[in-house]
Amino acid sequence: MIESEKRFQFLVENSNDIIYTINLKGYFTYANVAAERITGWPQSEITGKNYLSLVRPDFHEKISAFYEKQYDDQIRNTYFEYPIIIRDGTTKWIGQNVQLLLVYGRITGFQAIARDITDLKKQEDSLRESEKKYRFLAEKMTDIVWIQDMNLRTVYVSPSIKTILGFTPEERMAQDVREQLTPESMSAALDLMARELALEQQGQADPERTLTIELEYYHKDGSTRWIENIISGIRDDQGALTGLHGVSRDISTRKQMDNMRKENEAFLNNYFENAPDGIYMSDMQGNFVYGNRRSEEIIGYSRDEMIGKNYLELNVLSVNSVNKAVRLLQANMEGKSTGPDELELVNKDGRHVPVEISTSVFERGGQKIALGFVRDITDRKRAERDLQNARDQLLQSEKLASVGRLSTGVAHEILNPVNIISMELQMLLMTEKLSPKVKEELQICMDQVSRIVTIAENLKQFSRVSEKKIITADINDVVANVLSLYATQLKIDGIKAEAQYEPDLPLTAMDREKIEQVIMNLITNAADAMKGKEKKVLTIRTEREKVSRKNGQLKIMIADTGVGIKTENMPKIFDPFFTTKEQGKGTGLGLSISYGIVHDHDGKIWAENNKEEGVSFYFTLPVKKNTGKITAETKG
Amino acid sequence: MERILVVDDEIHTVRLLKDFLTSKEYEVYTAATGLEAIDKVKEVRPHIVLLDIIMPGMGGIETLSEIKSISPKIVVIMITAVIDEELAKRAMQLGADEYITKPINLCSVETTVMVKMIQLLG
Repeated sequence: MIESEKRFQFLVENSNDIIYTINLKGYFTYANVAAERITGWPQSEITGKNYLSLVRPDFHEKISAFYEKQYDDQIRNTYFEYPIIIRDGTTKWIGQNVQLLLVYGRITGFQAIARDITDLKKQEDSLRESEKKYRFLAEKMTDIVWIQDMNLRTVYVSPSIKTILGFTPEERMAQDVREQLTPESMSAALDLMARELALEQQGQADPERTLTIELEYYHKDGSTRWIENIISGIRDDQGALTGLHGVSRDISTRKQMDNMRKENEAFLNNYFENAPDGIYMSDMQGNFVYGNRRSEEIIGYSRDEMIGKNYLELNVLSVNSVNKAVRLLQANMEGKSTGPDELELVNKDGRHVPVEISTSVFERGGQKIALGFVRDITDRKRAERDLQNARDQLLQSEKLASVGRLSTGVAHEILNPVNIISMELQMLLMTEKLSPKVKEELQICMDQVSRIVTIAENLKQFSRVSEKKIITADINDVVANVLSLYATQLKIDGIKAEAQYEPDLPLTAMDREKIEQVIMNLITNAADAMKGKEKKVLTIRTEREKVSRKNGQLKIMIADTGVGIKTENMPKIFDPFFTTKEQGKGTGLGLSISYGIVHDHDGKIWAENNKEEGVSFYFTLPVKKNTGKITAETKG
Repeated sequence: MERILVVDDEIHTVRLLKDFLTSKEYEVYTAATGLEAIDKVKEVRPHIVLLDIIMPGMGGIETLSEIKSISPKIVVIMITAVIDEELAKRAMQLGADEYITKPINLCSVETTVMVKMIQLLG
C-alpha cells in the first residue's frame, strides 16, 4: 500500500497537468508542481490562496456558480474551461475536470485536474477567424472565377455565378458556351479567340498576358447581364495552352451608366445640331473648337472653315462689335457668364447680321471653354425698325399737322404788316427823283417781302383747306409733264435728265396738281444738290411694285448725283423748316409739304444715299380707283 | 370825279391806298369797319368800293351784301390775303365784282380800278 501510495504521489507530483484540491471555502489545500510551472506562483504560495484570485475577473461569477451547482446537485464529475491570470499578468486558458472530495460521504471540497489549453484555444480562435473570413468572402464575393477547356466548356466555376447569372455551378458546367452568350457577344468572343490563337501559333504572344473583354451573358431568367472578363491562359509544362481561366465581374450597372451617358451625349448632340440658335465653343483665346449647324448658317462658314480659327482671324465681327466681344471673352476668362448682349456679325458674304449672344464657361480637360449661344435677331431688329419707322411717320404727321394749325394763323398775322411794308415800298419807289442807289435798295426790300409772302403761301399748304381735285391719271404722264416744264431749266443748269418709264402702268386716283408739286420739289432739290458738281445726272424712274396691297403700288424714284444727305441729317429732312440750302435758297418746307401730300395719298416717301454719289428719293402711290377722295380720313 | 371808298380795319392800309388813289386823281373816302362803310356808301354813293374781307365785327362778305342791296351798281372789289383766295372766290359768287390780293400790288390796283371804272362809266 505504501508502495502504491508513493507511486501515486510521484505520478501526481510529476504530472504535466495541474492537480489541485480546494476546500468548500475555495482555498487551495493542495497544488502540484505543474501548478507552479503553469501559473508562475510557487507551490507553497498557492496553498492558502482563494481559487478566485487566479481566475480572470470576468469569469468570477460564472465559475463560482459552476462550483455551487456541482456542490448543490452533487455532480461527481464536471468539465469546464476558463481563463486564469498568471503571475506575470498574462492570460492562460485552463480546461479542468472537477470531482467532489468525499470524506465518509460528506463533501469536504473539490479535486481537479486542469490542463493548460492556451495554445489549443488560440488555434481554435484563429480557425474560427479564418472560417469567418472565408464565409464572409464566399457570401460577399460577386466575381465569378472559372476555368474553361480549349473547347470553351466550363470545367470549374465559383458558386458566385448563382448570384449573378442565376445558374448553379453544376448547371453552368453542363451548358454549351453558345447557350451562355448573346449571338453578338458570341461572335465577339470567337473573334478574340481566333486572333489570340493566331498569335499563339506565330509564337509571338506573351504567355503571361491577360485579356479583358466585355460580353453580354444570359441570366437564367432570360434577361441579360454585361460582364467584364479578365482572361489568362492555362499552360502545360511545355507552355502549350490547355485551357483558360478568368475572373468575371457584373458590369451591367456600369454599362447602363455608359449607355445613359452615350444616350445623353447623343441627345445633347442632337439638340445642339437642331437648336434654333447658333451654338459655338471656343477656348480663352477665342479659337473655335465647336460650332453647330445653325452657327454655320448664321456666319456662312462651314465648321471645317471655322473650327481651329480665331474669331478675329475669321473677321466675323463688325468693327463696332469687336471690342464688345473682347470684353465678353475677358469675362469668360474670369469664369463669368455673360449676356444676352447684342452684337453684329459679318457673315462670309459680308452681310451684317445682328445677333444676341449669351455665353458661359465650363472646364474640359483642365481647359476653360466658352460656350456661346447666338441668336439671329435680324427679324426682330427689322420689326423694331419698322415699328420705329411707323412711329417716326406718325410723329412726322403730327408735326405737320401742328405746323399746319399754327402756320395758318401765323401766315395771316404776318401778311398784314408785310402788306403795309410792301405798299410803303411801292409808294416810295414811285417817288420821283430817287437816286438809283436808293431805288436799288428799295427793290431789294421788295424782293425780301416777296420771300416772306412765298413762305406764308407755303405754310398755307399745311392747313390743307385747298380743295382736292382727284382725277385718275397715268403717273408716267404726270412725270413727263413736269419734266417738260423743267427741260429748259435743266439744260441751262447742265443737268442730264434720264427718264425710265415702266410701260403700261395702271391709272390711279390722285390729286394730280399735288403730285406734280411733289415731283417738282424733288427735281428742284436734286438740281440744287448737283450745283457745282462735275457729273450732273437726274434719273427719274417709275415702276409698279407688287405688294400686299390688292392692286400693288407705283414707285417713283428721283435720283441725283449731288452731294448726298449727311447721315445725321437723314431723320430731319422731312421736318418743316429744315434745310441745308444756303440762306435764301429754300424755305425748308418743300419736303415736308411733299411728305404731307404723299401721305394724304396713303403712300410713303423716303430717301437713301446712293452707293456712289448723290441721293435717291422714292415715293409710292397705291393704285386706287377714283372715289372722289384720296383717303377715308378727313383732314384739315 | 370818280369816287372810291376804301374799307379796311388796318389804318395804314387805308392811308396808303388813299394816298395812292388820290395821286391817281380819284376822290377817296375811307372806312375802318363794315358799319362805317355802309354809312359812307349811303352818304357818298361811291363808284367803287375796295373792301377787305376779314374785319372784326361786320365782316367783308356781310358788308358786301349790304352794299349790293343798297345799290347793285356799285362795283365792289374784295381785298384778301394771298393765302385766302378761296374766300375771295366765294365772295365773287356772292356778288363781288373783282378781288385783289394782299400784299397789295399798287400797279394792279390801279389797273383793276381803271378797268372797272371804264366798264362802269361806259
